[in-house]
Amino acid sequence: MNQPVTLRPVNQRAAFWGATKYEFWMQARRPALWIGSFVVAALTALIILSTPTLTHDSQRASVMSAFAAIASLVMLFMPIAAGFLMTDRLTRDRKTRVDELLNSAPASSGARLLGKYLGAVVATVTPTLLFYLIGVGYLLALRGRDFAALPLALAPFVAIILPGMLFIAAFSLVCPLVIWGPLYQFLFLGYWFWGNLVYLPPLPTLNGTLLTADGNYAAVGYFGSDSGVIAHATAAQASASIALLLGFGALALLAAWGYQRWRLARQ
Amino acid sequence: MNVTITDLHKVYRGGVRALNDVQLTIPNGMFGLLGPNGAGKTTLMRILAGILRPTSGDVRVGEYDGATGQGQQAIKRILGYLPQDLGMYPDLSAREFLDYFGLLKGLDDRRSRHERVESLLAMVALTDVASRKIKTFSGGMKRRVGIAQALLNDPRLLIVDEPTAGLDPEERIRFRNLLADLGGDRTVLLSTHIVEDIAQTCQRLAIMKSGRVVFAGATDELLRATRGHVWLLTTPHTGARPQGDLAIISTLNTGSGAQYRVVGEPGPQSGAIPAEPSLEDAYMWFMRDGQGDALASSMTMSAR
Repeated sequence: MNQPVTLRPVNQRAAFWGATKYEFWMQARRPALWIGSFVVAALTALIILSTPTLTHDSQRASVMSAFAAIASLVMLFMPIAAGFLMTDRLTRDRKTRVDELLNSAPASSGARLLGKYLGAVVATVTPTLLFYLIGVGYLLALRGRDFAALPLALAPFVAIILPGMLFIAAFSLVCPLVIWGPLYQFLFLGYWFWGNLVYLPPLPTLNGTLLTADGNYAAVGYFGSDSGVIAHATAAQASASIALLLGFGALALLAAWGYQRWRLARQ
Repeated sequence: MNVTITDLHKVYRGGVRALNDVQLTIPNGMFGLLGPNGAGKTTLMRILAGILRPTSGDVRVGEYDGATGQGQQAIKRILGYLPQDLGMYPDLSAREFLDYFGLLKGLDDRRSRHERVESLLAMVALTDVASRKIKTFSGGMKRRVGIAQALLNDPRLLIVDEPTAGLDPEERIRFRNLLADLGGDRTVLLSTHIVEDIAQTCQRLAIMKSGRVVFAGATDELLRATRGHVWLLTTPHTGARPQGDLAIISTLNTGSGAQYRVVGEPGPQSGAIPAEPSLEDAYMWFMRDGQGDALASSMTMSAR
């Protein structure tokens, strides 16, 4: 006779944090993360240092505006590395065939997906943060070693760099579910230049709109930085841009969750 | 804990019928699932593990109904699953991998989870290499990590799909002994096409063929039904292979000739010595065309 057993529900929060922790370590341990980020950072640094006006202007502006300018420069090319490095994080579960075990576990697919996203993106953004801090340190050194201002550098990182990174990380995580990874990377590269770096009117572009992921609305709206494409922006516009980026990123994750459940049911 | 499968069908996209009206009751203890490649064993396993939906039919694991979302969640909490295609994250160590899956299986208390992981690593003899990355492990070592993850939540239903495929003889024996120790008060469903694995560990089994269960019962029943149909035939080197309504199980070169172990009806050939059937003989006898149906109708089948 079958004895009824009282089962404790699975702690989905613990499963989420577990996924976050281990996805962080798996991404952080990838040599490609550090090598790729270093190469892109070196390229960006080369461009910055070979453009005297950039370093000259940063010394004259207010410290927050200067930090914002550094953040904007970091966002020139680092998101490309981040987008590329997030591409395989979800599809590797199928490639390594670990998805069978994952789907047989009682932890919800939503908790696992969210944990994977958060853990992988935190690891992926870490080299960008380090690069930004090096840039900030260099700037402060140029301005007379005013290192007491260092904690203020967090705000531009959170407002300018993080929303765009979270946005592209979400799409880079989920799009390879439906299109071939290398193809996505190629299209993403094209999107980044078209939608964030290039401004050639009358060609339509996302650059200069609230959906631009390079953080320039926040740089101008919150910190008064001079972004070039965006001449003026208010704090409200900056907030709207951030909300849109985070919102679309969340939608992408939601769509991925729904797609995975649909796929499983369809097997 | 009984597992009851009723009227189970699974048709894949493209019309491939993997399971065709499967009726089966799996009692407590070690239960073997035998069948050739493509018989539907893995499909059945994946449905029981809740990662594949049946086209129609019922699955009950104890009191839990596998047709409902709630039932599937409950089954997953008491389930341990070792799939045929065992995948792992190569960049995690064995200890990290087990800790990760412990969290996914509901072991949220850190201390007890760590203790459980360490005890399982000791059980599968991987303590010394627990900090090494899984990508450095041999196939047998990975299988042992696999069985350890399947046991993390002390499952009442353990599903093991082709666990010894690709393992060397020593690893296979080690694995078999490990599985045999796990019976007792849990239900262990061992699916394999290696008859010896079942013979050494299971008192009861089912045989699948073309998506159907063609036999379910005690291994003794199967052996009894095969008695009188297994023979040893010796032929000289210049002689032809045994002819007739036979299936050759094995051939042994004796130096002066060849000795064949066959199942079937050797006819009026002289020198055919009756042999005590093994499970492999019984399986071959049972799987011969038409034989399965005849035997199934004369033997005790599991209740619908």
